[in-house]
Amino acid sequence: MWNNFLKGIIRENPVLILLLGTCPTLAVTTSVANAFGMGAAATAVLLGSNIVISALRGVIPDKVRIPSYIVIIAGFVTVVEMVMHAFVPDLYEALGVFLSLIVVNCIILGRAEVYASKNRILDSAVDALGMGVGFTLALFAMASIREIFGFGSWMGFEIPVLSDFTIPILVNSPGGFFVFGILIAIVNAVTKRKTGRDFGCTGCPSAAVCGANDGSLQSAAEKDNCAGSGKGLDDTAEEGGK
Amino acid sequence: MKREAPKCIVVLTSICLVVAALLAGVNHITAPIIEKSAVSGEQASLYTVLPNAAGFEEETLEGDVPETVTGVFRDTGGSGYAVTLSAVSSYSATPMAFTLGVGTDGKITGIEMTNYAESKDFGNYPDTYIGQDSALSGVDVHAGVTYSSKAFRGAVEDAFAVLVKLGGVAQGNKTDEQIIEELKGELLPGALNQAGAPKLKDMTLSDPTVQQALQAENDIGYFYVVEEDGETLIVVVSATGGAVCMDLEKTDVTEQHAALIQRALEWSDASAVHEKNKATAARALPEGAQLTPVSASGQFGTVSSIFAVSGVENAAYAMVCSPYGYRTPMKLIFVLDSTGAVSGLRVSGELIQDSEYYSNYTLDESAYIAGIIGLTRETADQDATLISGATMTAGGVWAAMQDVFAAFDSLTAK
Repeated sequence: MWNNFLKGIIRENPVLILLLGTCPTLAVTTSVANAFGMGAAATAVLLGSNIVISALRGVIPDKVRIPSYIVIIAGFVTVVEMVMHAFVPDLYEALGVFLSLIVVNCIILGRAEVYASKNRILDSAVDALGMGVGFTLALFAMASIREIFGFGSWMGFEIPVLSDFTIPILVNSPGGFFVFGILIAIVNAVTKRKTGRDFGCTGCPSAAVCGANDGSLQSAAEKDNCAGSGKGLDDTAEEGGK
Repeated sequence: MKREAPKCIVVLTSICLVVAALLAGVNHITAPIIEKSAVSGEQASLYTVLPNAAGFEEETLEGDVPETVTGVFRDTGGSGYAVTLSAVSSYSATPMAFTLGVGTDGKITGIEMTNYAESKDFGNYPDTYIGQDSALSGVDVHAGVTYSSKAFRGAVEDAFAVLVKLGGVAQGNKTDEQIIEELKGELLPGALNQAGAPKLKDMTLSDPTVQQALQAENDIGYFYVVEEDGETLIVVVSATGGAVCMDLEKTDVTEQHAALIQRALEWSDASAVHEKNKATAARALPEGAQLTPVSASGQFGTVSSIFAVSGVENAAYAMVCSPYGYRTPMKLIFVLDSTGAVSGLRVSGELIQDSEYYSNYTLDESAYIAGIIGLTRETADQDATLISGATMTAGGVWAAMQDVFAAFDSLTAK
């Protein structure tokens, strides 16, 4: 259980290892407060959708699982959106369109497909919390770097010397990519993860939960085939980085 | 496959229904809160300028409301009014918008700029208005942002006009200095530069009753502040010979102070001005023209000298005008025939002052003047004086032409 939670933080960190949810990651990490807000919103949606999808895993027919997941996720996102608009309007304004875009955030759909649809409710909830916290921490780390060096402040508080020597590119899109790349490199070095060997199931950090063909190398085409094979629920891993 | 289809439809439809119901429930709770915060966001500036307000009620305004006033809100707790304003200056990208708070004592409690897109920054200029009443005696036009601050001040004055009319606040009392400053522009309109500031220079007079003696920089008249029998009076003498006396209530008291007027006329020796102008005017007329300075009662804006012309056909009067163009006063000589039509116009020096041209367009001056020749008060049309790219010069020519016609009418009525 504890391992299940921890895996989302480093070993299967959705942003830095699975490379999911890149779009909101780059967009909202110009300030730490926004990163927290985004992380919390995504975690709430992830928790809700994982629980519901796990509970309905025996009910939802295979053929309509993706539309069903999307409807459920969109429902939770809209709830979070309305609640934020009502109670934290400033954060709602700051996150803007990225709040609505949580609907198509691959982390959420990815966990629904890879994990919640084949595990018990409690496990799915723990998985959601782990992934949510991992996502939030990754955003937090990235936003801290960008805000401290890009704006010379942290959580909106000005940092004496740094505020006079800011690196404005860090808060622009190119700087976002730089920081993102460096963070991925650091995490890979720390976890001693071997990358670049293959793009099949063996190299996939989700291989264990995914339960795809016992580690044998699979081409992308073969993977697509099994996804379309009707009973390929166990074989598909929705992991295109959005 | 066939057996699965109904199940798919039922499940997906049910999910949609449940989600829709859930959203309806959440919306029921959050919608009123969202609406409330939207309204309070709009009204936030009202509370900033009147911090102790209990709540606001919009006043319905009747009659002529100045364009600048976009809304008047009364504090239901009775602490005063908040007025939303929108002003345009020639340097605005978008209208500047601000909210003004006025307490029941008629004094400004706060100002919140809600939109400022002027090309130059105001700094803390709006703060100088706090504590002022409708007289605005303690604020000045902000140097460097003259047009923007004039627009700002104008909007504040409009707000007070509306509030006073509404009966919400009492009119503030203007100081003597303010009234004198206003009279400079009202009595010597020809001495105002393009930004609307009176351009006057000090003169020295030995008369001990004279507190202030000023001469228009463009020589069109004189402005005196005189202490007479314990009362402060303003005397304005035009270079063309007219004189008027006013008290600080802005009442015309010329008739009651004939002796003072006589003295003021003696102080104002315009003969040197006329002598200089005569030489300038002579160049606008053919050789052999006789010029005699004439005086006219009244003040004719930018006209500094009037000469009766003899010995030239189609020329009855020559008038020298000094309207403000782009920077310094221009010198225009208008020649009128006996019917009051412009029969000649000469520009002494350059018509278009350096750097006024907005584009590379240059003016064909003789064609421009030819377009003005023959115009009378009735046929004159501002289009004839327009100069593309040099609006201020064109405005000066138009103003001078109006002054010349007014002077002619006064002379011929006599």
